Amino acid sequence: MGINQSNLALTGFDYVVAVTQDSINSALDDYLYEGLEEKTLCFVYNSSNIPTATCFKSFVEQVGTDPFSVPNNTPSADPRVQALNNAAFAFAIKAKLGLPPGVPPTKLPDIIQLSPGQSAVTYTLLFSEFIGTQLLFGPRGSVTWFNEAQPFGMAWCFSGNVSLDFQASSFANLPPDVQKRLNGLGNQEEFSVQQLYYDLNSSDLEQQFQFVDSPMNSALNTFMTADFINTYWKALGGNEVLGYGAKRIANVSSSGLAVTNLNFFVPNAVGNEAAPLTLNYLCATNNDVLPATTHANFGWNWIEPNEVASYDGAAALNRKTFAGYIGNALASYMKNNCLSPFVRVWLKGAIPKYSWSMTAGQTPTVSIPDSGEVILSVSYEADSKDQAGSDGDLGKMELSTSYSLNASVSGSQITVVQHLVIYVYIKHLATSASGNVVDIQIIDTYSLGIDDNGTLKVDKHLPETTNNSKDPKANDFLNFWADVNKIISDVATWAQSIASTNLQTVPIAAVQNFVFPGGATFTFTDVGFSDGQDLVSHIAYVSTANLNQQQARAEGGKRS
Amino acid sequence: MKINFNSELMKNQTHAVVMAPDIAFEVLQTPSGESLFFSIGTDGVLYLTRESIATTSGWIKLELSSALSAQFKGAAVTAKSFSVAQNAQTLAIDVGLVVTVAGSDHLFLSLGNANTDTTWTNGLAWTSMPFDADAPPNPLTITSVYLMNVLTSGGAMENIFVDILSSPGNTLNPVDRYYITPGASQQWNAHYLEAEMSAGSITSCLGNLPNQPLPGIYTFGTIGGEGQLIFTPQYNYFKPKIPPVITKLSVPAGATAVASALNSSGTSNLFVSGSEGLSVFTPSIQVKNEAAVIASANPLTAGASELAASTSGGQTSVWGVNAEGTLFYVQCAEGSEADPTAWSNPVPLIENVQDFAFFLNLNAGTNVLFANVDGQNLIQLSQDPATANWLQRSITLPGTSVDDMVEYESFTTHIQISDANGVATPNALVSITAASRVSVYVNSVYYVLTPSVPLQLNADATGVLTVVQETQGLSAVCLQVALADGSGVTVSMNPMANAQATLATVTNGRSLSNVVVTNSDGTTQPLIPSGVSSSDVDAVAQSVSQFQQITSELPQDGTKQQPSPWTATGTSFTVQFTAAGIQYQERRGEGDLLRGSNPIVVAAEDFFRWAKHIIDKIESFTIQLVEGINHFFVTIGDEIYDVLLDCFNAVGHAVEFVFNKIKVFFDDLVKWLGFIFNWSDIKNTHRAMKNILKQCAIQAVGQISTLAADVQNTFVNMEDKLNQWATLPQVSTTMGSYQSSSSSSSTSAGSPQSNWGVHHVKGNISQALTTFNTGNPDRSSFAAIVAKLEGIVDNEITGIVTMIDQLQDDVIKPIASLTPLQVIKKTVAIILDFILSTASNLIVSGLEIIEIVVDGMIALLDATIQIPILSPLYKVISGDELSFLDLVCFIAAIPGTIIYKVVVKEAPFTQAEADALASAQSFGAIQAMLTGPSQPTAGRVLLAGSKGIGGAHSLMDVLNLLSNVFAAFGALITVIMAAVKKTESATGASRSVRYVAACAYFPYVAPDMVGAFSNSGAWYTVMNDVITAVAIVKTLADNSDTLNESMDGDGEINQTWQEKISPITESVINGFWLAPAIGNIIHSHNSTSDWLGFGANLAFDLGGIITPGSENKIVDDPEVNAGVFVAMEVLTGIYGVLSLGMLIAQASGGSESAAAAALPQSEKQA
Repeated sequence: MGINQSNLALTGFDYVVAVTQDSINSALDDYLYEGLEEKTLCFVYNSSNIPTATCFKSFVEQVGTDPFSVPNNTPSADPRVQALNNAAFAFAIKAKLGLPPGVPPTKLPDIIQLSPGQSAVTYTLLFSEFIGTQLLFGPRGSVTWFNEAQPFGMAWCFSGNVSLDFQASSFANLPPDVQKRLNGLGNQEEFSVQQLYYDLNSSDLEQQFQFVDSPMNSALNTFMTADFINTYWKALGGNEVLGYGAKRIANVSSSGLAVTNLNFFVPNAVGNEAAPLTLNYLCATNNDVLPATTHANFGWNWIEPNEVASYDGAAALNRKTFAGYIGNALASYMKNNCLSPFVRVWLKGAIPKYSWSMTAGQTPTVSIPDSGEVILSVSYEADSKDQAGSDGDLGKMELSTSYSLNASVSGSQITVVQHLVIYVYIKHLATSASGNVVDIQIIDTYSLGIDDNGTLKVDKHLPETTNNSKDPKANDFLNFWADVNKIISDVATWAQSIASTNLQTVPIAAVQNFVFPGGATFTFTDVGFSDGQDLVSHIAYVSTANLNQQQARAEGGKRS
Repeated sequence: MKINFNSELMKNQTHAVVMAPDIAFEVLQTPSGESLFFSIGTDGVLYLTRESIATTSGWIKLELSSALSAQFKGAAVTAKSFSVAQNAQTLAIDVGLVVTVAGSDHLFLSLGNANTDTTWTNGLAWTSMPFDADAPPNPLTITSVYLMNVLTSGGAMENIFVDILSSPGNTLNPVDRYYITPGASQQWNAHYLEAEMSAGSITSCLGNLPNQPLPGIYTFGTIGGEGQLIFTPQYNYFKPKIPPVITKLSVPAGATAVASALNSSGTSNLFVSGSEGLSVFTPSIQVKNEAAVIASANPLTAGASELAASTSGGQTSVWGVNAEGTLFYVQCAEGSEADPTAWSNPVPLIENVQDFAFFLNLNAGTNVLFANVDGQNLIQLSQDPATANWLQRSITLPGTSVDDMVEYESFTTHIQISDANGVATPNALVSITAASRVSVYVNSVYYVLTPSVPLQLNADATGVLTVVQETQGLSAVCLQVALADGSGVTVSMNPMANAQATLATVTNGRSLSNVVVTNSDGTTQPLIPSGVSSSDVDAVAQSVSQFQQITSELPQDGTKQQPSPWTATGTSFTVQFTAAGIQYQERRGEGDLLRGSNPIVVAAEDFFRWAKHIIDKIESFTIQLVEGINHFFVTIGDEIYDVLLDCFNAVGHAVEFVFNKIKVFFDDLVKWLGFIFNWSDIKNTHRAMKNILKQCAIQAVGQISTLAADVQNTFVNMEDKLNQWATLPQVSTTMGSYQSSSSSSSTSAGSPQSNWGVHHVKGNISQALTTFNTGNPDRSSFAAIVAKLEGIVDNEITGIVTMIDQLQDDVIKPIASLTPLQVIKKTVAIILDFILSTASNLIVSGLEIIEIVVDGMIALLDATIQIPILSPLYKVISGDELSFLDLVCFIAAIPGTIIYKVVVKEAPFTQAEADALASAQSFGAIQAMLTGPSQPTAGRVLLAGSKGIGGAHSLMDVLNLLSNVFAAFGALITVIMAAVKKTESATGASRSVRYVAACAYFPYVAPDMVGAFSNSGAWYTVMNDVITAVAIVKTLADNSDTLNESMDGDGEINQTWQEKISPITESVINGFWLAPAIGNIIHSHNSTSDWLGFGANLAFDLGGIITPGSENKIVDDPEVNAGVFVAMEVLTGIYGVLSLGMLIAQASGGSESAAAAALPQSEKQA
């Protein structure tokens, strides 16, 4: 069950990565464990009394008072409050995205919650530190100083729905560079939790936040729901909420397939045993059309209930995509065995003369079936005949070639069967001989493994070669008069030498170079073929805790 | 009491087999730090080989898996893979085992086994863990089991993982991992192995990263040759029910092995051996997800197949077996792991290593390594934390066949505890410590000596402790032995003292060139190989001489010299090894070598091990005194290495290094500085003496029918004979001063080589076997005779108790302060009545039984004994099987030859003499050779002048001299056998013990037996011969099967014989034996040797006279029995000591001082 049921050929998706809700949340928690950078927002009233962002550092230097250091309810007569008021201070927020301190790990709210049959998720924003200050103006010009922080052991949560449907019109209306940044295409981290986190936080996506888990009647709550979420968060309007942006990681081998389109979807769970919901990355490769999410209620569970403890998720490559990959990789090799024959028979006096040749590099017929163990079927056939004398009574020759390659898959093995046949018929005066001068079948079997970066590892078994090539001979008496054997032997030797050069065991690199997309984000194991012959693998999240620092180092100079 | 010791660098042996390396092994330890070595043997059995203090081989091997066969209806069970773990809190041991039965694999666990010694002896209780997760692949192939115990905040956490082949037929052999929960409703739980890895490629080790919520496990493995390295936290901190979030580490190029070490702050460094050497992921590197940094780029550390690491005591150490199979290690200060310059040069420890295991001895802080060398040999290497000393030894298991023997070079120390006069103190309690932790054999039993915890042991019945420590070079651990009697007597022993003394004789090139060494076959050769130029020899000799000077200034207890604030300006010197030769240059005062350089300090042991590999690259060294310690500075490449020569061992290595430079290796040095048995001379002594004693015995047994009459005739007028002492001249020398002068003059007798045979008889007699028996004669007449004898002795018992009491108080206890004349006077006064009343009829009646019994006993002399070490070695040396008589003669012939050669400066016998004496077919034939007109070796008497001490001497003289040594060592064996019999209870003593005891009597009374050849006709000579014959046949009978093994239900007869009749007869015989001794001293009493002989006889006879006192059936007081037994042992010891003294005195023609001077210590060649 589980990934063994994968059958993407029915859906048209090239590649799907599915991760469970718990896995996403634990990866996000892990990502946020050390907290992101602390950010401060500071707003002052402009001349139209509209709060306007200003540089906090310069503001403090100018006013001489750090608003966060002024305690809640400090009397308005306090010189610090006075100074802030005089400087048209509106409010300031100091926030650090991360896990709220003092909350036991298992009590942390889920950062995302999936809903079946949707591309939207419920997203909860958590802070490891959050302080809000503002000047509240009351009746008769009264001024109240407000300063409140997230208490230790409590999570101030901002929850809302985020639509991750990149096929929605609102997404399509975004500028192309924003779209690209959001879907992460062309980025090795397209499946990473950082990218997802960025998407979730991006105000470019449709969001509706509510402030939860804080006393509803508190001034802060009023402030936050009324002003922070509804006004200022969205008012930022930019790409980087609280100064955070998606970052890219170098030094990861690029995948064998380029993901060219991407969307999110949460398929319905199948069965009555509460299979975990998974967030699916639906991918198109090689600029294929990405089917609508309506095709993504697959009818199987990527992770079965009893697999929750073992796997974070699954990656599945459509059998046809993989077959196409192999087909492309082997194209030039296969062409070498697609031989176009040419024969000519003519008379020199009454003696027939023969010439023959074959031209490699012909284009075979490639078939990529939707079902069955054979995922790639390649064939080529050609024939050439000529004769001399009346109806060929003095000499005749025929040369025909056929080549086939069938790749079939099962379990964690790929079997490639090649068959090359070269048939010759020669008639010399009354004597004739014919037969398959080349009839060679090679069966290559590969055991598949996968390394932690998603690169396929291949162990090639010893090839099984069956050589039924014949050296056809006319009977000795007849041959005395006409040296057919010499001619046919020449042809056989020639054809066999071509075959031995061109026909080989399948070059291993064709399979070995394949890399699953997502190698920087996940480790891969259990690679093999599903019952529907998709190339599937279980995946697990790699920690990103260390990446924060890498980014910070790389970006350190650029950000304020 | 005092302690004497004598150490020798010599080969020694243990009855054991070297454990063959097994397919796989792991090591844990007991609370006291002994190793528990788990392995799967080539026979597919899981074994535990346990280091076992106070056993003979030091290790015991137990089968752990064979019993599982019963769970499979007796089918063959093959152990395939196993894992052991130790509970981080309780130290209990868990074992996981995979076995293959009829082609399919099964998992078994045995958890919570206490790690104390006793719990393992009955094997392990195994619990089957059948696969119960989903449908297993077919066939189920379990590739590994891993047990890992991790200390968490909630206590020790056991992790049990099992890998199985996930897809049979997949030639990459990827595995699926399962987590085992013993006792749960489902025990096999699929566990995501976070990366796909091939069976057999996976290594895991524990880790802990800073600022991470949980510790975890590093896993390194490959798939399709691609290395993968991940860190997995214990569990998912945020979502405990799903897999943890892992960290991928970038694999260093060509990675082959990993190991982690927790540092003192609890975070882990991860080490990786790759194609570029040893890399390290420090905790901060791991957190930042950066690439590993190279710790050591030395090729020695590259491509290791296995690694181990530890941080302890401020040092981080990494061990590994590199691609060439060399076991190496590198070290740096904790915290400097990422600094390549902080790492020591890698030190190669052993070559051709296939596999190794490692642990830190928690008790001793010692690094202990086990290595499979060449697939042939398992070696234990341990490093003393204080001295950096590497101690290497094989893992030896108890021998199962008599031929099983492990031979090695050793420093063997013979320690003698004795009274003030040099007479052995039986069973003295001593405590032993060592300058550093070392495993040794003490009296053939395995112990670990430490500097801090004294080992308390009893010396044997002869007051001896033999300490054998294995060595691979000129280094030994110094010992300290203290008497545990509160006397405060403590002796510091430097086992290298003799070797150092010999080295000190090298003063210049000429003295070194003149050194000639002797091989074990007796051939000789110069120490220095031909072709070494005289200037090279000069340079080496000067270095050696300087090294000896340094040695003499070091702490003499083997400890390290401490720096002193003042800077002495000692002699510094430089030795250069150039193409033109070796140059030695001396200068005074501090050189300027140190200025401006930053030498790398290396422990001497490490450096000189390393130096053996790069000996040709070392072009010079300089010795220089810095703050009171000599430094060995050596330049290799661009670096200066600084080695402290601050203890004996360090200098020993330096000496060896210099000799190696002129192709003189350890084996050659052993021949010079140590001791090698020269078997050809020993063989001659042995063969000649054996036949002499044998013919005497045959003669005695042959006379048995007339002995009774002889006794009756010779014992007439016994009272007069005994009272003749009154006519003796007064001599003022006391017994004690005779003992003292004898013991001090015979140092060669206390050497390890002289006592080598005794040592091995003692250590192995309990395992000796024989197929011989002394027959089962007609016993029908015994009851009546025994009844008659019992009647006689019962009448005497009251008198005997009083007599022994008086002898103890008046004679034996104060014996050292009495003159021989006083001894005899007092003794005769006490025993006279007893002797006269009991008279000869006790002997005469006893002979009736003895005559019947002894009939089958002559064959004993040629019967074969299978005794470990001695039997196989004797066979190699002589080509013959070892008989009982061979054994005792061989043991005595070794010191006989050694001491004789020291004293007389030549071997006792020529080849022709030995051949003739050994082939003589009768007593008469030998007598004719010794005394008749046709002495075959008339030339013998010509040995005089320059060599001869005491001038011309005859073959008879030779025998007289030798017989004294035989007597002394026969006495040792007699005492030891008596002690063994005592512990086994006399009647229950094994045949081998009895037979050895019987034969030991021949060398014991060898002076009497040899004396029988020169029949002067005097009454005392005749009488002595008669009594000797009686004593011989009685001793044979006493040790016969007939009178020991309960036959036909008449065990009572034997008991009466052994417990009453025999001891009292012994007493009577020895009482009578005083008479010829008195007769002899009256006849000749002018030389010291006469008095020494007389004293020896007195001691011998007194020991015999008091024999009944040791028997509980006669004296019903265990305390008295024990006291008498010890007194007998002491008196036998006095006999031995005085016999040796007599040898010296005889050889020197009566001059003791000349004899004493004739025993130089350095004289070693036997």
